[in-house]
Amino acid sequence: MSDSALNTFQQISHPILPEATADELSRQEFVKSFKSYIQSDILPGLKLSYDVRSAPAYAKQKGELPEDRWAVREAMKHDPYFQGYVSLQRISQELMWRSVIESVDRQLPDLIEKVDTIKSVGGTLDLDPNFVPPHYVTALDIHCMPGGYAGVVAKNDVAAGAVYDRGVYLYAMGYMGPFNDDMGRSVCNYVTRKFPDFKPEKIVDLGCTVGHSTLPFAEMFPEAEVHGVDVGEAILRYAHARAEGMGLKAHFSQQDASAMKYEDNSFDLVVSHILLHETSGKAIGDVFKECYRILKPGGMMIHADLPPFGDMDPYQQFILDNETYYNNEPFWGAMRDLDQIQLSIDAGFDKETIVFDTAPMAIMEFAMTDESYDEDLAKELSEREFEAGEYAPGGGWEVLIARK
Amino acid sequence: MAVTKTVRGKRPKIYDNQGLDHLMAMTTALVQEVAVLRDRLDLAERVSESKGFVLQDEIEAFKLDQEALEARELWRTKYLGRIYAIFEQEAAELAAKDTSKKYQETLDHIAKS
Repeated sequence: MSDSALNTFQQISHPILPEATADELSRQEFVKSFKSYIQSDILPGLKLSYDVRSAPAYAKQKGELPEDRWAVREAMKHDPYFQGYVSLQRISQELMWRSVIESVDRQLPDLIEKVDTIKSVGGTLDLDPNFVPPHYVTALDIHCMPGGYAGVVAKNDVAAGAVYDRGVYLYAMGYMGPFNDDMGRSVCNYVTRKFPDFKPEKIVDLGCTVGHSTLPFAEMFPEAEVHGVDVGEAILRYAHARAEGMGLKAHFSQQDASAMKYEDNSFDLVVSHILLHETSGKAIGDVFKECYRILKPGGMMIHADLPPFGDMDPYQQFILDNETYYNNEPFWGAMRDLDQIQLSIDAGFDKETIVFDTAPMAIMEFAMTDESYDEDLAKELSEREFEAGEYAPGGGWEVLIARK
Repeated sequence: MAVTKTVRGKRPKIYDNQGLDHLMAMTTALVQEVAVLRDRLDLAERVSESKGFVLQDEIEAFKLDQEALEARELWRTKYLGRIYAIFEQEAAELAAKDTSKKYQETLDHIAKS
């Protein structure tokens, strides 16, 4: 990270975003600064500790250098530099959620009341009182978010959404933009630039959470009918209020992306953003099959997520795999070893239509929207090569595309 | 309707001595609190300066009443809850009989089903 450019990125408010008192804001801002600090000042030394200390010690004991990411972990886990780095990473995550939750907890009754005062722009919310969230969402609190995606703590609850909307902004250190919509915006940009003749009329965002990646589609394809599905009642109630408050029309429903209620051949574009790594070994295949089923002939499937491990060296894979062991991301590591191209073929897509590509981050555009988004830092971020362990390695989002 | 603060899923054991994991959690939370405090004081100084008021002198002259003593004591209780949150997490895991073995079993299960 540049020595001179300071990250003063600030989230922009919308009617249902929780507000922070001065102290709450300080607590949350600290987390953002702390995460940046770990990445820019502590992480670089980790490779040194591996090269200079852990790897040679391992080689001395085992007679060879670590050959895969599990061997790298074996070598690293007793090293104090690694222990310090990964401790602080885990703690930063815990502080992040707690700093946001304290604020949401204080204002939850007001947030719940506020939902009904937001004027509708025609969006809808369809909750299923009999819905049972999939096991892989409720087994652990994914990315240490207390209560999880499907957590409900009150009648007409919106807490999980409020916690996520503010928390994910801090997690991404503002790189997702002032409205957390970089991923959706990046995919929209990719579609409009790469497939300028593609005019989708019906779009669905799978695992939409608070709709942060969904709304760019409503904005950039204003003629289209935009849908978002997720498994959490409180998350979806928040997503609906958030969209209405931001004046963008979307239809949210409580569904399992691996077994949806939508009809066959009914969508032109099916997308997801960092959903796949939070599913499971069986569910991911089912999600791909559902995508094929609900797409019209000629329709497109795009999944934006993390790149497969593929040819990355063991050390790089190990760093990226830390999320699995230290951040409650149970499927993260396993998913990176899957052949998603084969999964797409198994789902029915033609091999010729399936491709991995990179959708560049839309961060440069944010410099125009808010003073806190320093243009120099945004430019630097959009152009630099990200190291393993940093946010969005590659400087863009890996997209898997297939056409029916 | 209290928003959940503890995390389901056994926290990884990072240091050989579990006490060090606790210590890192506590001291880092403390680092955060010091920053928050510093921010607030900085803000107070800026605000008062903008109103033409010399804060330092007024602080020295001020007398705390009973209400103030109670409010500050209540704050300390919550503050300690934040610093020692790691123990709340530990207790929740113990109450749920959560273990590292269970975490690994969950990973294996999710990879397959």
